[in-house]
Amino acid sequence: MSVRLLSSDSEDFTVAKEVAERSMLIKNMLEDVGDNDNPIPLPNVTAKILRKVIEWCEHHLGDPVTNDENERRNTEIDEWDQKFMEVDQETLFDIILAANYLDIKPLLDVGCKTVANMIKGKTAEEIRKIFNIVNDLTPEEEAQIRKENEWAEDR
Amino acid sequence: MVKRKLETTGVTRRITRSMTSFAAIPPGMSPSQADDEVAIDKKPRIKRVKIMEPDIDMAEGSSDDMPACAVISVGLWRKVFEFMDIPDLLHLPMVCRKFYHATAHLPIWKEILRLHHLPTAKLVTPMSRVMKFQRTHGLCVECWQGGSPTGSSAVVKMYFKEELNKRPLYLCLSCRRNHLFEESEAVWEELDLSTTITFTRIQTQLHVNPDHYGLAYTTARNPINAAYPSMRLFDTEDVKALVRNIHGGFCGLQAAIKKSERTKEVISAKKRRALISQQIDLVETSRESQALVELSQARKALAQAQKALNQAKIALDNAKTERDEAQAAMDQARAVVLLLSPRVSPPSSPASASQLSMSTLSSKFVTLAIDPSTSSPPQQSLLPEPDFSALGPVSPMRNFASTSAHHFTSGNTLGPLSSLHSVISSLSTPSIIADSPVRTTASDSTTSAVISENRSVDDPWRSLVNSIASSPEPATSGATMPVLPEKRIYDDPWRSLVNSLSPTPAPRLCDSQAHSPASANASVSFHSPGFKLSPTHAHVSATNDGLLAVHSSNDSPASTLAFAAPSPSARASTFGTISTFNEGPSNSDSPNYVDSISILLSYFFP
Repeated sequence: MSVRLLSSDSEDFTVAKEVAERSMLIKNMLEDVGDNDNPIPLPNVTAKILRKVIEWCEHHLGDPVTNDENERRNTEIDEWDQKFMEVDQETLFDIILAANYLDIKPLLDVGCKTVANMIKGKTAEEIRKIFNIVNDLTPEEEAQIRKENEWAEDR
Repeated sequence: MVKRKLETTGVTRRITRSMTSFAAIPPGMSPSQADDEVAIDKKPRIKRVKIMEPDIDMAEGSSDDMPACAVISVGLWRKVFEFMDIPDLLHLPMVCRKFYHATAHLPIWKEILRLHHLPTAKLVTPMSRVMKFQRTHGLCVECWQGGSPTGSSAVVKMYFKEELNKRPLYLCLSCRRNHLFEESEAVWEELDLSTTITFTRIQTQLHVNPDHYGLAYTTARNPINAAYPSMRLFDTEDVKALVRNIHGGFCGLQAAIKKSERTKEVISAKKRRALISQQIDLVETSRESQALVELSQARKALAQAQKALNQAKIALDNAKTERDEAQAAMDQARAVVLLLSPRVSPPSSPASASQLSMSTLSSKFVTLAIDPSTSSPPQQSLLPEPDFSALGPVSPMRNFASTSAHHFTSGNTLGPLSSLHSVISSLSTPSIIADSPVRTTASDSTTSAVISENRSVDDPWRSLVNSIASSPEPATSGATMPVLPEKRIYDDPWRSLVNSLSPTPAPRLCDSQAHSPASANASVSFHSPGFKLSPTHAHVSATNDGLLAVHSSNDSPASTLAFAAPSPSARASTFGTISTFNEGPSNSDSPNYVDSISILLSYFFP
């Protein structure tokens, strides 16, 4: 049994129902709508990102779902996921947004871990450079934060 | 004191004096100036500000200039940050406001606060609260536990081998022990340990007692003396493993060594402070002792001064006593002179000028006349004078009085006069007798004597001589009574007596300080034996002339016993100033004169 998914740019994807139900959002919609041939619209997900999401869901189709927070937090990213996430920042953040929208927690964790690994061990200035962030803190605010977190400077 | 304010951070601050010991003296400034003007670089105080919310929600932005991460909301960033460690999280707030707000309220901070039973504050973010806790207790980045402030049980930074590519972490003792297998060992070279290590070095340098853990050792001869206990040598690798496990790695050992050094420094600082305080106490004690010595010296000087003062007072009292004695003697002599002077008849010739007639003396009308031309010395007396040396150190006046009494009783009239002359010559001023021309004229009714005095000597004897020489009977003669010119004010009853003898009350001596009759009343007494009237039969009253009048108890006019000048000394009073009434005219016009003379005569001839 398959499910039709319609991206925001009107691209139609037909996937297996088990793959589609990795998303809690689609699963709940299928339960609400029932079996029909109408495509499920996904306005916040582009075809490019939806394709990546479907790829990830097809790869992790048989993975068990863990509810342990510590295990979920401390588990390292496997190699397939690391290669899967070797994309540009825009795609990465879009995958994170799509995983958050489609409520695919394992994919969201992988995306967040990937971003976290990009930040770890970096200084504030390096982080700004990585993500092209503009410092909008005033000097007083920055001095106060530095004073409060001076422990971080002792490294 | 001039307070210099610094503007290092734009915040003016007062420089406290307690910080002066840490302030460096500016160039070109003397230490004294630096003591008055002190500047200290104080740690800048930052006013707490509230971090504003991000202006634009980047997740909703659509501009092409916006970064890719702008599409991630704060909530999603929190999901990202949940996979980061505490040291990484501490850098995120300084990236931007969104990162700050995403980091400050992470669940991890609330869990740490819950773990340490710390309440959450409304005005302070959980992250700030945890950082405050970390500054006092430390915070293990793995188990979020704290530790002791110092020593190996504290949260210390642990370094790892380079091949592990792990950054150093702040770990507690238990977490360090879990990481021992991967700890870097290069730091052990700093201790320069050999293959074996002694027990003492383990204790002092590695802060471990091997006996508590049963480490194996070998014994060796004591290098200092073979008689001493043998030396125990431990294997260095065993000791390292033990120290790693006990202190949580070499970082823990370093913390223990640092704590030991700090403890030693604190102890030495306490000893220094105690020594300084003791020195200060010693200085203060020496100052106090010096002050006490000065005080004792001042007390000694004061005691000596008081002693000298007491001696001076005693000498003054003795002088006063001698003066009183002399004055008493003068009173006695005056009494004798007063007895003699009004009744001595003038010598008929210069040859007999010095002679007194006993009959005239006994009739109480005697006028003393001393002619300077014939004032032959009294050595020409016809009768030998009695010896009064047995009486002791009596005054010349008293001696004269006694001599006069003796001669009067023996019928000799020249002896008393000669004695009087000697007294006048000795007690009064010889120069007065020598220099002053005494002109004496005598008659039965009038007597005038003038002693011209060029010197302003306040001498009652001179007054006495004048009074003797000019002892008239004012009521009969009406002659003026010569009065010595007196320049000095002298409160002398003798002078009052002389003045009282004068018929004119005006020219009184020392009127300003003369005794008032009322006050002189109490100084009269009756003590001479053989009086016809006992003192209990008389009473004393004052006259207008300042004399004391003694009356009999019947209080009749004729019973006036005597008049006397008030005498300040009791001795003069007891000598015989007042005596019984005797024969003689009681002239109502001049009762003073006659009665007083009569009284004195009766003393010697009771």
